[in-house]
Amino acid sequence: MNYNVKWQVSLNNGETFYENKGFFLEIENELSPWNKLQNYILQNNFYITSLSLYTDTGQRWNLPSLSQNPKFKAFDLAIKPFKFSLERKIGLDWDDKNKQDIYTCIIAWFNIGEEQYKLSTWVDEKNTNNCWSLIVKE
Amino acid sequence: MASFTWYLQGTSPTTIGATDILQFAKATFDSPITITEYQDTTHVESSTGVDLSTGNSPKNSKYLTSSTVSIDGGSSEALSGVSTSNCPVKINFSHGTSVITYDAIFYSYDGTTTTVAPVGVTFQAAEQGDASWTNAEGSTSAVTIANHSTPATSHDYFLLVSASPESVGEKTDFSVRIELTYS
Repeated sequence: MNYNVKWQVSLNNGETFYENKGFFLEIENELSPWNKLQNYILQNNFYITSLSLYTDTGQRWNLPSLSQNPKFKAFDLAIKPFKFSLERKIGLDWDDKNKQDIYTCIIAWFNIGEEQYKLSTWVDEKNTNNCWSLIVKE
Repeated sequence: MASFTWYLQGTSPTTIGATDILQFAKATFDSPITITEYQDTTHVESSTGVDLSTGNSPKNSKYLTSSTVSIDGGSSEALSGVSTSNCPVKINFSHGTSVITYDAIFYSYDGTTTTVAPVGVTFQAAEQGDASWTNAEGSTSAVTIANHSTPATSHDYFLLVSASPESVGEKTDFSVRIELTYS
């Protein structure tokens, strides 16, 4: 069973990839699509320029990106992330295992002054209308 | 997709099903624990009150001091020396593709708000290999579970658990939760 909430990544070489499409299909017993992407990035010395989440029903969540052609000045002036990552969070109580929570999180890392911050956007796998963003000091 | 399976280990493991709970008891199933004492036995109880682990000789880890434990009624031993097979709780995390897991935590709470301690219960927990028990009540006091940094489709976590009533009566505002991150 595949995820409802999937990632989309653009790299500095211009390529864009989607979870569970092309080389990044979810195939049983192989590395996860995200781990395959990490290997591809490492082997080719690429880096991520934008990271988003989407659903097949048309919902979309974007992090601030490293885009070189912003449509508005505000995007050009905004603080740019220096790193992106993706992770999934799962939580479960022992007395009600039907209430398992799974969230997909995309994370952008920022240097602000001497300090690092993470902006993460969480989307609920079961109900994609549930979405939260967090800013955490590292 | 990801899923958890919880087990109470013993001569054979008992799966803790969707609506089952772990029961902490004195000598036998359903026997109440004396206030301020810790449990002598651990069982899997169905939602209808049936002992599902009878016949499997379920493991029990009884808190003695902050760094010692009694396994299945045995003499005091160092918590850090307990083997995985002697840990009562095994939680398996499975995923269709290979992932790493990290930032895993395990704790009790009141069943409503994850930061709030369970009501009327003192709960201790430890991961196999830990030197000390953690008074794991509320998410901010959780046991930290070691990262699994090698990608795999199956990850097992072995835990020791012990509980003590602070008052008379069954404890209903008492749940236990695991959370982890994977990618």
